[in-house]
Amino acid sequence: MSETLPPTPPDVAPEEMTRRNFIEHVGFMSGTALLYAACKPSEPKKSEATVGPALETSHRSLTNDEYDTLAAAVERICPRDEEPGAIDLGVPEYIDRALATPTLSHVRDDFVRGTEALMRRARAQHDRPFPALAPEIQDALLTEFKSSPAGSGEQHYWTVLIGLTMEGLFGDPVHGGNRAGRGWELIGFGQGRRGCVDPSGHHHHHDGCETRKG
Amino acid sequence: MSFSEVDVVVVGSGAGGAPMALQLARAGLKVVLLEKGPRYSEAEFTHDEIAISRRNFFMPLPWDEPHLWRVGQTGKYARTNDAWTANCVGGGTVHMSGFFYRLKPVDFRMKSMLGAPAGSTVVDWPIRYEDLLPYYEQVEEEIGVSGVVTNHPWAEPRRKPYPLPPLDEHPIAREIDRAGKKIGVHPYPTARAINSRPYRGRAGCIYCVFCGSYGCESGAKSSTHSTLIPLALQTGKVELRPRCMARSVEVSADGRAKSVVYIDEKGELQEQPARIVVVSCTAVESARLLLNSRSPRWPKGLANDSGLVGKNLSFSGFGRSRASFRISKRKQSWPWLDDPAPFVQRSLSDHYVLPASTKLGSRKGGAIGFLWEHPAPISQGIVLAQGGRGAFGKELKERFHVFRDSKVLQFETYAEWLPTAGTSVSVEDSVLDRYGLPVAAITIDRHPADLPVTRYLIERGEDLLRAMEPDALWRVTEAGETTILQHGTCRFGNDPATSVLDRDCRAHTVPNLYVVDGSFMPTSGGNPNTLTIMANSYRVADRLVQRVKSGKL
Repeated sequence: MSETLPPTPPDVAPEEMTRRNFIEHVGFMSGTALLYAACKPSEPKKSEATVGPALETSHRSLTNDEYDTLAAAVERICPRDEEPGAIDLGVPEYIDRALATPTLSHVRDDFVRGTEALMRRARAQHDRPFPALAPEIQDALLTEFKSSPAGSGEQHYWTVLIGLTMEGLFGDPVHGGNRAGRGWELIGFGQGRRGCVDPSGHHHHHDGCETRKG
Repeated sequence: MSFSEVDVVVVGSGAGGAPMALQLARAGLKVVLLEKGPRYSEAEFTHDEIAISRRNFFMPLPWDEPHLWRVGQTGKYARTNDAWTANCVGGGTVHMSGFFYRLKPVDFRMKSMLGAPAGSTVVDWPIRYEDLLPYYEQVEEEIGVSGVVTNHPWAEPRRKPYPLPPLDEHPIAREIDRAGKKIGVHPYPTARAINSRPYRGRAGCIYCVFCGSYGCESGAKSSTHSTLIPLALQTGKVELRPRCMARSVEVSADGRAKSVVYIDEKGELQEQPARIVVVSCTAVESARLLLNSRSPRWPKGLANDSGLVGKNLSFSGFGRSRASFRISKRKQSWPWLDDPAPFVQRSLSDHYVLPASTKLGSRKGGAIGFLWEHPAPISQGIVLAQGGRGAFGKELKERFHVFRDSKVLQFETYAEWLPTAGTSVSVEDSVLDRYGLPVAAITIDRHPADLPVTRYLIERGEDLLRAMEPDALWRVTEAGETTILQHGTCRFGNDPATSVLDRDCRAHTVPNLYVVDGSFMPTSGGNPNTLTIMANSYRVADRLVQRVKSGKL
């Protein structure tokens, strides 16, 4: 037994746990709120700039290149092994869909900016698009983002990316991620131990969130 | 447009506003109850963490309605959505865990009994525990509180048992009791504002697990949404107007409050005249409303002659540690460990006041509450990914697997938060919310004595966890604040120079203006305060009705 930080389970993220918010230690997108103020305000963005007719996309919020980069990144965050990975669980589709929520346009703008930065860095350092890089190189690039100083754009992107990835892994399947609830199996949620009843519960539509009747 | 005058307009339908609306209606007064958020049906309280916890179901988005937050008088403000409670009918009582502690006699007389540390603004309350006692009983009876009275250090005087027996508890509670005995402390069952069995037409708890941070789908949680609001509406004397955001309390030439101006659900400006105005929007938001209600008579904000509106803000001193118990290692010794029962149901108040023998001396401490981790898998996934130096890939999956094999017992402290001149709420005219109103700006300036006391409580909580021989024990936070527990921005007292409200929570200088959320509390107390706010609201309602009946209002 250890008095100090054990290797696992880990200690907690610095920002979200120092304050007990009214929702149990969940800052919105875990810290984006603070960063919005710390950074210069997101400039109102012309949607044509990213998803205009000139760029090809078969997705709701992201261009095909952005989407493919996102998919490759989330699969490195939660790779498939004997259990499903992020792509198996529908995380990229979830994120693309969540970013189309009108009230989350700020998040989408920041997310797209961060994804573009990741794409640029892959090109600049390795002369290839991020999805085409070897997994070890992808990991090294993601580690650069993860380890960037607090308050940096890279760190902000990492925070948003982790928040959205966890929503896609462990959110209610009605939102398009966590396919068939298999994400919950990764952490033992809803298997009679952390919930007496089906955690899907019941579903209704309300503001600010895309849901469908489940 | 303008409505015709009513007897009372109440702003806010949570722990403070709902009892007022109900009690005033029962006395025959006509009440309009304004609530900025929607009135959800119980069917809308799903277990969908994305919808409920991570969007704007309960709290506004930080770019729509931010709070500003800074540490120190020269700190830079950051936008946050901290220090909101739920924006909906029922307010914070909807998503509360329903830990229903009473305050204790010492909380009312901190200065007299323990002294005011230099640099703090600690004062005695103008009322005593005995003044609230009958109202504590009334709340427990009326809304349904489940618990069992036991003897333990600092147990407050009681005359009656809880109206409902305790909720079923997880077998881990026995281990907490055993560990307490081993180290000589006295864990006791935590009372809960949740029906343990059907009560007054409402269902008993179905043990769905999704309690704190979620709304209650069965209505067993004793929120004002499920209890007092329906009763108030049944009187036929209360008109509830959801999705109405108060902009200002207006005053007449004689300096009395005359109406509340608000923005309705269509975005239109409305004015509701009333003989009496009751404000109850949380300590942060009520201060904001008064500070935004500026007029030639009150250029610094309504009832702010003393300059104290928004001052002496206090939260609750938050510390947390966690202990994990590996399921696979305890199949023989603790075969019940993975029982899904949601409630741990234990608190520790041995250190409500620190003994003089400690190196900190005889200081106010607070309670420690034990609970399982909340059923919030996304939040837990984020903690696993961002914890320590962060992890992704194989390492993150390993963390998932350890988590899957663990039951994590944690505690949180409710340490006294010493009020200071610096910790306060103001309004920031340069930052407007989506209604165009200046937002609340919070400055944190903690008293240096707070943190050692919180740390002392954390160490005592860890003593208990350690005595349970967990597989791992780690400290999460020792210098935090619980921003859902808010007090002090309109402190009550007998002297208009040093308080905003009189002992009946009526503004000293505006004779028909009342504030009944946590704003009145000049000190935070060492327990969560929802029950206290509700009890005080019943008390104030009684006093208000007496005043109306004797023709003094």
